[in-house]
Amino acid sequence: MRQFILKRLGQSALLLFLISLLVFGILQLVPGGPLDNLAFSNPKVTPEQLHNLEKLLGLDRPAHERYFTWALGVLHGDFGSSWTVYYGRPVLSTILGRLPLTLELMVISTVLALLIAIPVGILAAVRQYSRLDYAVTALSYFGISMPVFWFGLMMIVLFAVELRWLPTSGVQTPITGGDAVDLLRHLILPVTVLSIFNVAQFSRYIRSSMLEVLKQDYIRTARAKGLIERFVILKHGLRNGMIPLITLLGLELPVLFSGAVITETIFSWPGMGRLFYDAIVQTDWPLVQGILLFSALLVLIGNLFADVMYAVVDPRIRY
Amino acid sequence: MIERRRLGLLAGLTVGAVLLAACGGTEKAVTTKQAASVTLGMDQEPDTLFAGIGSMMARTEVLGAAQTLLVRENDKPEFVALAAESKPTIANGGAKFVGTGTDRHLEVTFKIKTHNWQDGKPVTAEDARFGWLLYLDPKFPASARSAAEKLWDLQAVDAKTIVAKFMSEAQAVQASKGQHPVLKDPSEFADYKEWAGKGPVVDPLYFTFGDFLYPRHLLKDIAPDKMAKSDFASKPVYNGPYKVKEWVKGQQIILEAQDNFFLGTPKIKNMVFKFVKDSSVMIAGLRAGELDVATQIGLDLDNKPELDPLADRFNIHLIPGTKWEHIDFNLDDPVMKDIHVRRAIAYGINRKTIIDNLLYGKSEIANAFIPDWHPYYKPNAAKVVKYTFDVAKAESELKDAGYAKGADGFMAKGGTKLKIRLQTTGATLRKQTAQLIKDDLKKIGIDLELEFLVPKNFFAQSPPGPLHGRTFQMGMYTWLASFDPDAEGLYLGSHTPTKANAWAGSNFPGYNGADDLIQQADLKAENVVDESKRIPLYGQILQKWTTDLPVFPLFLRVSPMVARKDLKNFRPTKTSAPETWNSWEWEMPAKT
Repeated sequence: MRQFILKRLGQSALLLFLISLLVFGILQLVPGGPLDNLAFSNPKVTPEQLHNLEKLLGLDRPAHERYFTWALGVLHGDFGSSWTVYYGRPVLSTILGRLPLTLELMVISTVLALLIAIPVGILAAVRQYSRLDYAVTALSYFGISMPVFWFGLMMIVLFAVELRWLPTSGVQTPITGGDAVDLLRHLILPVTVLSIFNVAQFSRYIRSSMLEVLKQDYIRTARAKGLIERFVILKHGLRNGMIPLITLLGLELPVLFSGAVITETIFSWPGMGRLFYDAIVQTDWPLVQGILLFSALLVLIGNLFADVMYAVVDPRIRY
Repeated sequence: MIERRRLGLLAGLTVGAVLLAACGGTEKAVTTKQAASVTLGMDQEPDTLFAGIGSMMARTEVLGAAQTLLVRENDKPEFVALAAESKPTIANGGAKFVGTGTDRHLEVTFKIKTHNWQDGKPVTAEDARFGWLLYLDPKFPASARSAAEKLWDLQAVDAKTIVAKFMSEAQAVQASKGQHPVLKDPSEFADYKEWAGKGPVVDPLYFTFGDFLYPRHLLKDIAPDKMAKSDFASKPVYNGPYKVKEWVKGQQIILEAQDNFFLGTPKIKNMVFKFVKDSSVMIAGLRAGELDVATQIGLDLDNKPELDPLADRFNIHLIPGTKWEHIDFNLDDPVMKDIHVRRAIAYGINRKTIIDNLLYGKSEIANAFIPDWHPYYKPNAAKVVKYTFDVAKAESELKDAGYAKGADGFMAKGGTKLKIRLQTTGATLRKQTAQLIKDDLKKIGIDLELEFLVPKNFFAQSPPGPLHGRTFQMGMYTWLASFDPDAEGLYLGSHTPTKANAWAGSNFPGYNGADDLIQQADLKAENVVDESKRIPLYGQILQKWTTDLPVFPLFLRVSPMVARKDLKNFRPTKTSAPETWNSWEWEMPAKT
């Protein structure tokens, strides 16, 4: 296993280098730059002034020189400075500043979704074709198909505007808020919106996987041995049924860090998703590069984690 | 005995009456309890709070409350003295021409009112000189250095007196050769290379040229290229009614009132700018009572149906402002260079229908590059040639151009159908406007082809897009008009983008028909600083410009501003001034 992990880490380093080249190269092809808005909104800005601002941003240097400066900086933990979203602020500290709120939202909604989806999926599989199974299936399709944007707005209208139980958006009430209750109240709606989709998705996976597992010979053997049904399902069935879910969770790991741009936009939740969107719209290439590289790193770690967890869950798998 | 009782009764009644009167007087003196905070929603977050860096409107909104300028534009539009004792003008002697011949130059004197920075240190003239030098430092990422560069020197004569000295003709030529006392790089003075014979350098907004106030005592030890990264950029100290208390990135900026603000203590203790990205959520915030104001950078006119139900609790201001939507004609295009074709298009577009159908009837037809509420337009309104919708006139113009209607209903000349391409961006309003224009022009026999481009491509300079590269026939977009009409920047012939000048310049039509008038109005010092001469010159420019029709103005854009009905002294602005410019005067009762 150790050799496997070391080999994968080596491959990941090479992959990251190639990804950094790709990310940097693609962004150079995008027309326009960070000074376009300034140039167009103020005809009095002279070409010399724009050239001076370009020099300050390092844009007067050739692309390969800029890449090497940036890549070398990344190796030392310096991802460069933001051009437009937060002018002059370090990219890494900007990303790390958004990370806690992103993790808070994504981890809570994912854990909540799992806590609901796993028992619901198991029940639906065990009582296949029952009313419960049909209800779970219908609600799952509803949850997967429903536009997050619309659902989020409906929740705001109902709970924040009409009932006034919860706030419309944000992380905390300005000035007077910030205590645990206030933070929790602000979390409820975005977590609910995100969880609904995840519950729908996860419960479908669990149900399908459990249905496959429950047909296996070893399950029949366990029952024939006289084991109680709960023991058969949870000890023998669930462990095998979780394997596809682990794959899914491994791929979800980067999403935990990259956020959910639509949910964050509706609820004005300052997470990574919204930061990425703002960086693209405002042509803040250092920030875009930093976030993409960070996300690539997390995808690689997530894949490695999923592969390692396979071996933990399924003793037949050895590297 | 009886008399004593009467006297006693009388005394008692008198005392009682006095007490009652006092109670009544005390009741009148009780003021309504003010709200602890006013929350403003906007869909942008500033990139920095360092004045002079960046160009986001969100920054301007926050600085409107945090910073007090010497002289600033208000909502009317007019320029008022706030941190200065008075607005220095030629008329009141605050500004004057000094010297003779090529040494003649404009000097503007500002007297600073006695007041302090938000940390209690006094604001002095040295702070202005420091700021001016900072602007000229190439390592300071100033977003617009043009104002600072027009000055040869900015002196702190004493603690309260600033003298801004514009360049004389001789000094401008010296500067173009690298002999400016502060900024040495000649490329910074490229405009002054050929200044010989053109007189002194001036600016129509000369009365704002002391506004380089920065707290020198806080910034002098920070290198200019590090200032954008400093704490000052997130938590600045200025001289305004509200001080930045906390900027929670991605969430809100909280400002607190300064009790000793020199123009009057703000009544509302805190001001919060909340970043709400989605307009529907912003409206939900208003409905739920979480937001008291939606600024002009939160909503657009498409939100009007959602805003109408709020009219019982909120004032919904729909004011045509400074942005004017228009169509540029490329005067070097073989079809568009014909004035008859341009006039046909102008007469053939029904702007009222566009406004009624797409803008809820809340906008106004634009007739020139200056809005009709502007002080330069009003006295000259009669000189502006107006193109009222008239199909018959449109068709007549096309006939004068030699076109005749073919069997397919479209005009043609020499066997070639009159087909024109209109390019613009893909924003919803632009698409809808373009479609209505296409329908209108079809009725007069013009086949209009529509092309929608991503803004970055449409406005690109290098490599040039259709505007800068001047490959367009008709281009539709918005300009932002300011107090200074700046015909020079937009419509002087030498500001046409060409390959030779690396496609720089904003005169996309390539118009040069008013060059003489523009040079007199915008480049001749005596006219530039004297509105009694400049306004009539602009009257002539407007007449020539609307006659030659290099551009067809369409309508003024409208940005909704929403504020609680009980928020007193909130002044929605049609100018470039932020709504927060007079925030110390705001009053809002606490919610019960």
